[in-house]
Amino acid sequence: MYTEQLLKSLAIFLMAFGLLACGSAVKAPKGTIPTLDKISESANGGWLTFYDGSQEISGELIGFKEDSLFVLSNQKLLSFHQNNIQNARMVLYNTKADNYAIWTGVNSLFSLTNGMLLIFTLPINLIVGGAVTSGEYQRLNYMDFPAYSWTEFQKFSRFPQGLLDSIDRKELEF
Amino acid sequence: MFFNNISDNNFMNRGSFGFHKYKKMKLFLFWVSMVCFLISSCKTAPVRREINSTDQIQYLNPENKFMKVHMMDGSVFILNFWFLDDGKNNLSGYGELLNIQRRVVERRIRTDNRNGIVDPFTFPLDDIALVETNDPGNSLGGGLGFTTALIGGVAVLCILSPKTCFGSCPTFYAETNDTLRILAEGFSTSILPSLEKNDIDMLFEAKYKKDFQLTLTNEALETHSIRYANILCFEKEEYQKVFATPKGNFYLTENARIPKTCNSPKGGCLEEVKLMDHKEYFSESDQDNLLSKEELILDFEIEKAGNFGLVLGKRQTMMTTYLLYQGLAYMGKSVSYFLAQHELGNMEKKLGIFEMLGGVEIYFQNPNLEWQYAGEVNETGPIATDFNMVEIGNVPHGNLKIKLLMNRGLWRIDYLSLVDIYSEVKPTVVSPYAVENIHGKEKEPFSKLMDPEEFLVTYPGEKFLINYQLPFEHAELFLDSKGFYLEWIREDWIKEQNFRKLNQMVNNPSTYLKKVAKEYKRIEPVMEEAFWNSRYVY
Repeated sequence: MYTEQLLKSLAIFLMAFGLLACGSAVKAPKGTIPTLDKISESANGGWLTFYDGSQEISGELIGFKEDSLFVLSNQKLLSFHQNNIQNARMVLYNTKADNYAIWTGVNSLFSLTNGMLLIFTLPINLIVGGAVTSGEYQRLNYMDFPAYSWTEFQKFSRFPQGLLDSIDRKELEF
Repeated sequence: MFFNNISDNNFMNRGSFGFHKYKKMKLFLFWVSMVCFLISSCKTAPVRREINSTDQIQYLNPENKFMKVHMMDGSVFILNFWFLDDGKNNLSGYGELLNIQRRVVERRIRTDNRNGIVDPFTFPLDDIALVETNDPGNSLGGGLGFTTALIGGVAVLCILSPKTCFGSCPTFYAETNDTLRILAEGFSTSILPSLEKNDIDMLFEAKYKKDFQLTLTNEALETHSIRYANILCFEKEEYQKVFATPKGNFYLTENARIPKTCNSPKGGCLEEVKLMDHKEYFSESDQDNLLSKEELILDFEIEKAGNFGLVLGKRQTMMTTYLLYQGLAYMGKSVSYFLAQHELGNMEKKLGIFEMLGGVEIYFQNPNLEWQYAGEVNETGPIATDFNMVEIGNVPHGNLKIKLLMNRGLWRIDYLSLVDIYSEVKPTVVSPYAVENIHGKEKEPFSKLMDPEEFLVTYPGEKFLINYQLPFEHAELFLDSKGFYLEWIREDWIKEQNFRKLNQMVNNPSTYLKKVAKEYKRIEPVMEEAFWNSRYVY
């Protein structure tokens, strides 16, 4: 009957968007970088991850000076020669994909209060929520070296003007 | 008492809850899906960040909400309002100053209040290393905001009018030319055992097949007790139609003709009534008195004298539903007492509120140009469009004027036509030959439905398939069902207990209809428009 047909269609939509949305977003540790809507109000650098030999280094990109880049990792300011880094990834902001997924789920539960109208509101919510969550998962919230140059990375460091001599590096560790 | 007076009003003869438009719904969902798919499959570019020197400040996009000013010493100003003082070579602005550890050192907020004026940050351009702006692009959260608002709005509607969201009455689906649709609801006014009655609904859109099937569901928080559900089958030619009169007679008819004109207090109404297309004429209730009449005037051209009948396809608005459940709400915690008193026959029968609102009265203009009463149609509920025919009688060649007199804001008229009455016909009653339990507790639904002393009892969420073997090649079908149902009284309904209002509603309905008019008017658009629009039905 009608409801079953609709539920079947709904299941297909769910599977389609489930597949789209199932990819996990590229994330930095919570609190280290802002979400997209707060990026204009944040003055910290992006979250950089790379390998120095066999050791994984991750931390806030502080800035560049001459051929070196500086990373604040566990409250320690570390410097690395750019030529020693083969690949790196910097996350610029954390997406809200997880929040949107939860929001969609809560909306779906809330739609149970819609009685029979649920057959209208639930699919709309799942389709829109699936698309929004999927779209958010797929946001390019990061940049990779060498696909992007260090010059581009510098724009997203704490000090895009460079780590000038006038900046007291010791103070950065407090 | 209240319940005596509703027995003749098929107020909850609900039809499709938007099921009529299943295909449209699928198409709609398909396009929504496609749009969403395209949105979701587009990889967005990383946030765009512009780094500029101080001499470019004046050229920055003014739509940037924030500007970060990176200083030579590593501190940064995040400004939400800024301006250049060219003469002094300074930049000024309001916002926050952060140190190199990115902790807020000072905050200066711009205010429009003259008493609280705060000086802006001001610094020489020479101290600035560079300025930064960001274009974060669009947030996708708006889509979810929309769905939350939609679901919330519907939830409010359901709180205001739970019955509109949670269905009622035994619901019967049948296959039509395009999909399975809800075509009838059984004995909608029989909300107590003592109100058990039969109800005949025309299966207007049902696809005729000799091996005919109805799907019976219980989609409400109710217990349904169904004594029987038979098909009334009328043999006919393909071009003929059979309609029932309010008195319960059936007539074979031919030559449906639409009115030449249709006039209402709102203006022309021909577009709404000329086809059975769910495009309906309806009016809003009177804001001072729910008991208020209106007229529709129809003109027909009679090409040849004959015996005619007026066919009406109509349903009620939510007005009677509102009044009934308002009555239940006024009974509050004593609802069981009142219902028991009714069952025991201890309630005095009075002219009730629904009888006062009345049905659709039909008049025609006789040769003396006087309006002559032809009959009254007074059944059906707020969802399913039901069809009846009122006999007009013998009419000579020429023009025929017909008047419909009805309560304002109570009726939705979908179809009006004048038909030639061919003959009175009697039905062939077809009982089911099998009943399948698809999802229900009853182990022997067929025997329960066939035994006149038993009931097929169904509970919320249950579903049965009822199978019939029909005898003719072409036939008109009606469903004749009998039984009663019990509402599961919900907590929300008893919070409004008010015996004074209940007394007024029962004993002085004309006063009550005036007093409740404004309150109903307040939610009328919610009940009627928002509900039906959101149901994508029409």
